[in-house]
Amino acid sequence: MSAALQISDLRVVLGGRDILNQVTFSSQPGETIALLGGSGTGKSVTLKAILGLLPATAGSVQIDGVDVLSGNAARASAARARIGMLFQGGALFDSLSVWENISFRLLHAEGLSRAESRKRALEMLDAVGLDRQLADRHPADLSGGQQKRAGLARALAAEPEVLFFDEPTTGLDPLSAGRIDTLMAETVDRTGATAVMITHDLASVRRVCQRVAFLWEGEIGWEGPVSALDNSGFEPLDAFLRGRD
Amino acid sequence: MAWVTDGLAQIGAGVLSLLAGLGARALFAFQATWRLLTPPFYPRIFINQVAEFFYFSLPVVGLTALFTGMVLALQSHTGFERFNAEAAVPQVVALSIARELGPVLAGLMVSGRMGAAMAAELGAMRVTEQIDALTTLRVDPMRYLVTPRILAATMSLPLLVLVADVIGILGGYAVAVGQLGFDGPLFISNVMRFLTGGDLFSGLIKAAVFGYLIAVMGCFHGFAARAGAEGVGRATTAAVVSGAIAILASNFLLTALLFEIA
Repeated sequence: MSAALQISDLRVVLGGRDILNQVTFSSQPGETIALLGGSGTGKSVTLKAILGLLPATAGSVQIDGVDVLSGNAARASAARARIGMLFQGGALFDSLSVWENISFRLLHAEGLSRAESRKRALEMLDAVGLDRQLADRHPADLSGGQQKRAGLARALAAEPEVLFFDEPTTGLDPLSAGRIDTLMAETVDRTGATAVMITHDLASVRRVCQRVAFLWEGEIGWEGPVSALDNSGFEPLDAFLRGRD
Repeated sequence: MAWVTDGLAQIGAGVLSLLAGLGARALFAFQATWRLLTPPFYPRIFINQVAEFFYFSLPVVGLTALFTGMVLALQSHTGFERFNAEAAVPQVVALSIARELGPVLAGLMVSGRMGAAMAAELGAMRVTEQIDALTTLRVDPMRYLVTPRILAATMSLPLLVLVADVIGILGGYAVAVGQLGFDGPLFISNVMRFLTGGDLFSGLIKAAVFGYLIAVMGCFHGFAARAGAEGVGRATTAAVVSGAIAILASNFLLTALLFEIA
């Protein structure tokens, strides 16, 4: 199973200020699109609006044609159930063990027993290359890279068809970042999921993504394949890539 | 004239801001309470919170009650002996503790301990995106985090106050008998004779309301925490201050109401 994601004319106004104006992009099954942009351009706001964590003023977010923002509530809820999210800091629940974190949705939203959920969590630990002995530890006992992997395992545990990665390699050493990139790319290849990645890490973009959407002044200023990134002809993107105005 | 209109505008803005704040808290409380009526429920979190509210708050509330009862016995004796009414010390200690000081002081201590803890925990969860993560994992954060805390606080504080009442009266007993020369059995018999079920019950009603308000304020400010350590710190302070004000203001209203009913 896989799903196409279509964001159309997404507009978000916060505190009377237009943060996003008309954001439009799409991603197909088996494809990972990178949402690039400078700090404060609204990348995280875009993600939060797509996930329903911030109210969108206008526009639509469709998963296989079902609008999750303003469509039929039951259908929208079912469509949202197909989403998985890896948060920037992992966002693991401090008070729960690693396996309880990974199987959280299975336990609390899917109704699986604790035994079944734990079994699934251990399988997910294998899938992201974490030792099963970490299952009963708490997130505070893990390194930053291990927390990211555990967060990825949690995002994947319910087999989502649309994946969002928020700054997945930020704060990691190059080796750990490379491992996370490989895991994300393999996951999308294996599951055929549709993925959106927010990042500043251009090496990560080149390793994981097929296409890039560059956010500029509240809109997608440039969109194209990763191979065209260095010859976009779009000055703000060139400046972003050069690292100077 | 401009300074008059400016001043009035500022007063108006302040009143509107106050009303908006009260409305936001009331709406938050309603949304969390409404979820008590429909599943899913999270008994594990509820039990953990009862342990936090009752068991782990017992030492601080017990000590507060003990010293309050002791001071009350000394102070009332000092005052009453001017009218040759020292014999009323047991009744005054028992009534004051059961009707007023037990619930209010326990409420204030628990507000400082648990209101702050809830705001800090939920605030930290807010700024580290754990509350957002709940939503993406298809679990309602309000139902998972807030509703069990409100229920636990509302049920635990009356139990805590009941224990505090006993400890407070025992504190008064210790001072009255050990220092002021009261007869022990007479002290107890006076307490039992004058203290009615209504006195205890009114204190427990107050405690339930205070517990509810402490949890609402703690959770509200935790949920509303802004990014960073400073945001969590502000949320914690706001939770304790607004919890204490809510306890003191509702105490007056409840006392007036219970007085009318009696």
